[in-house]
Amino acid sequence: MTRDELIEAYRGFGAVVFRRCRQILGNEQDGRDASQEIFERCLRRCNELRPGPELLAWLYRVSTNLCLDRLRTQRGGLHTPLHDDLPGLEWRSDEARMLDRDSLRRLFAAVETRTREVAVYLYVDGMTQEEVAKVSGMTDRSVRNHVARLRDAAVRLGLLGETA
Amino acid sequence: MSEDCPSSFALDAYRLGMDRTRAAHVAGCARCTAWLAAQEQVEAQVAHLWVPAAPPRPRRALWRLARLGLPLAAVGTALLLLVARPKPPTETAKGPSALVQVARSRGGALSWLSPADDLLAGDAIRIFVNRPDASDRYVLVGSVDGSGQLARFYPADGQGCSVALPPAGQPLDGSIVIDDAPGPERLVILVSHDPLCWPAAGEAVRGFALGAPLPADLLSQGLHATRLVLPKRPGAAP
Repeated sequence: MTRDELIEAYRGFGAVVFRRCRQILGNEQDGRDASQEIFERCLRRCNELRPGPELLAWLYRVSTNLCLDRLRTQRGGLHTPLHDDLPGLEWRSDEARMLDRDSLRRLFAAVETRTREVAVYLYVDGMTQEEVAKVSGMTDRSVRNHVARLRDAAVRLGLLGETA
Repeated sequence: MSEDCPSSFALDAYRLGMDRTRAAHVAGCARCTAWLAAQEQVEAQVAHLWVPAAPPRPRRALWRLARLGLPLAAVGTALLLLVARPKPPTETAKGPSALVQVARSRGGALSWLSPADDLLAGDAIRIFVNRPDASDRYVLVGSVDGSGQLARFYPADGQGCSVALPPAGQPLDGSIVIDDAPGPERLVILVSHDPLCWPAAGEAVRGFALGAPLPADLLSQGLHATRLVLPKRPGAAP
């Protein structure tokens, strides 16, 4: 994409990035900062990016990883609850809705980074495992493994029943 | 995940016109419709901010010490993501406020000016003016500092006339670098159907900045006037 094409495309994509960053980081200022960094990354890499679903998936992946990285490195762990009180931008995962805020934080803190990334796709975005594989670039098998670890952790923490 | 509803990724793809396979579901689903409506609000809120930084251009001597060298490109870039924040107090001469917002860059950190904020010499500010009426097309901006000195910003030319209002959400062209004149800065923004010109508008701006009403002949033109009192303290920005 040319720089101008990217800027034009970002009018739609930018809102997606901002929403996700705000949602994961839990506040508007941090969401804005993260979104800005991603936009600047896009500008630096615009020649490598392709419009369409590929760019959308890339932005999902980059925004997820950047936000999780910020939560881990800047705050010593995922202490900030994932945000769900934005009107109309509720958690799209019924399973996640069964967990309270604190439970979800504990769950995220109990799993390693890649599994946490998968958890965001599943619980924040409500993706199917097939979509998680598409967005994350993982194999289907790898996604299944991460999902299993996530649910094992949830059961271990007493957050979900054995049948979950 | 939900039994039926598409993921946010799928809904984003739908909204951005990349994948319409779930159109039938979305059309009949209140939850997805609400989600999309909320996302449209987010987009409306921030879409205008995804504008590239204007390339640095020669300063237009907007402020008396406008050559302090604060990088305009950095200011513009960082402004990309600012969204609505508390505004400084405004006083309007007519109807609803012109909704002026001022963004400040200090040492590379950007923020919207709120009533609690102040200015330092070396701060750079950019002014965002929401169009009060569709017929309003022009804006003229000046400021009176603590010593009563009038500075002309838009236009900077002392003989010039109002500049065109930029598209919604975009700042007026160029940033203003704050000098070390005594504060506060009383910024006056006049939005009008027809251009106003310096120096004729100068006395009206000066008077309005200091609390006087605008002349009747200006008010009769359907002018929207906003006054922002920006506190300023001694010292220089980092």
